Amino acid sequence: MSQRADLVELLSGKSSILLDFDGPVCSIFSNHPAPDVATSLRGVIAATGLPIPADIETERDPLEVLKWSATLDRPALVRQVEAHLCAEEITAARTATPTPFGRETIIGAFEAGKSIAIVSNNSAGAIRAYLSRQRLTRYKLPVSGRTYARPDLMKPNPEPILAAAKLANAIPADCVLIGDSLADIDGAHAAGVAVIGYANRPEKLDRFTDAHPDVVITSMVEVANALVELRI
Amino acid sequence: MSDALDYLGELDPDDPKQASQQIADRVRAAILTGKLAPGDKLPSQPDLAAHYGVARETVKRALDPLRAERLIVTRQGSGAFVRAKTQRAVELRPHIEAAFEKPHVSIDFAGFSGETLASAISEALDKIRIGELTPETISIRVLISDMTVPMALPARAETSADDPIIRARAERITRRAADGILDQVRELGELGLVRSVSAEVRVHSAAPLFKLYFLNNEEAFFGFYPVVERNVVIKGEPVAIYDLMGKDVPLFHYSTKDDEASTGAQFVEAARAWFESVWNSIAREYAE
Repeated sequence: MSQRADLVELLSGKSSILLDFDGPVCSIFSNHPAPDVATSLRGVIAATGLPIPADIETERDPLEVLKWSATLDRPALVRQVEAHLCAEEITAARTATPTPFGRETIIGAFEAGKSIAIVSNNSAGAIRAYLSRQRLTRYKLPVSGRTYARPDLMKPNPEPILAAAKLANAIPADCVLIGDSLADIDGAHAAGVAVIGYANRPEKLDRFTDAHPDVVITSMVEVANALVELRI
Repeated sequence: MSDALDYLGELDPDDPKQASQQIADRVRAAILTGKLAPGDKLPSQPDLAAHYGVARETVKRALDPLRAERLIVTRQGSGAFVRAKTQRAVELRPHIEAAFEKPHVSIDFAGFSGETLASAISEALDKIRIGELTPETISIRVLISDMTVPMALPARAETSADDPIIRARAERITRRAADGILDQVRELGELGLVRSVSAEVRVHSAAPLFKLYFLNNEEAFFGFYPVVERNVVIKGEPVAIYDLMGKDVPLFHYSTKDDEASTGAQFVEAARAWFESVWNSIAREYAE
């Protein structure tokens, strides 16, 4: 069967689409680089006088810095880092670049009669800021974002995915998640949710293969096109 | 021939219309008169083909306009259904037909494309061709947005801004409707079926936000175009656009003959003045 037929079949069997945010919807840090945000989070930690290990010193992903801060048994510090990251994400959302066909996927999901929810390791506030800026507020998309100061609950933990399914009024078996990271694929498996791996960079193709998503796509146009076919 | 599909009528061999068009008319009538209710499944294409004694391809062609009119929807693998929302607050067609019963027919339209008008008058014109209606003069004016220049609507939803490829699509729609009206009306004149015909299209640079019809200077029909976001396929790819929704919107009817207590006559007069003011100022010649 062709890739397109696979996608149409997968999507036609599901009532709800759970959409990862950074990747399928937009590139949140496209104009407010993630490494800069990671550096500014390290500044928050360094201000407390805590030593920062070498691997965290060079970490480019702010979410990894947040995760590490949660290993120190310093709850107040985690909340401080979290608050800082939330603020940075909202700033980033203001200049985030929309993913081609991300919007068409959202509109197409409605046109195909599917419910839709966003499930992300980013903060819900930043996601709502983006949706508002893009005039998508009217669709009242439910958002399952990062639990405040609990980075252990981020994907691949299935919790936010299960929460998103609930927000979309669906049981996990009726949902399909679209995400661009291994955490999405592993989390979806753990939640019992079908998953479409969006390999938005070529090197992800190999990595995804071993994680066994139901379908792999390289552009959101593939999902958007499949949803056009399923339009009611 | 008698079968379960009797309510869908039969083809009239004397009707000059194509079989597909006749079938479309029969099914449309069944829907509008409630013989097929919202949510009902249409008879299958093979059943319809057998009932009318035509090829399945003809049935398929007959259903296309009904889908375009949003009377029916097709669900993959399970057939065609009557759309849940078939309510049309004021049905324009009978009024247009009635307008053609007068010796001097005058219809003015302002709006997006005149698509509805084009299909509504084609029925009346068919009746003129077969001599059922015999007006002496027909004058039609169509005032539409010029989709060759940047517009606020339709727009690309992502940017909420003008996009030439989206406008090009809209232009094809407006052009098809405008040219259809011009061709049909002129043909009547050329055939000598009507003593005097005139049809003129003018365009302006304002975005289409409402539609307005005038029939014989006595009646006005007004409807808003709500802005809707939807995916359209352009060059094989879906594009989310802000579009105007022309179908399924309620049309409000005003008449100079409404009783004195109502605002009908005032509305017709003010709308008339508006139309003339735009027609004679910012509107320009339509490039056929």
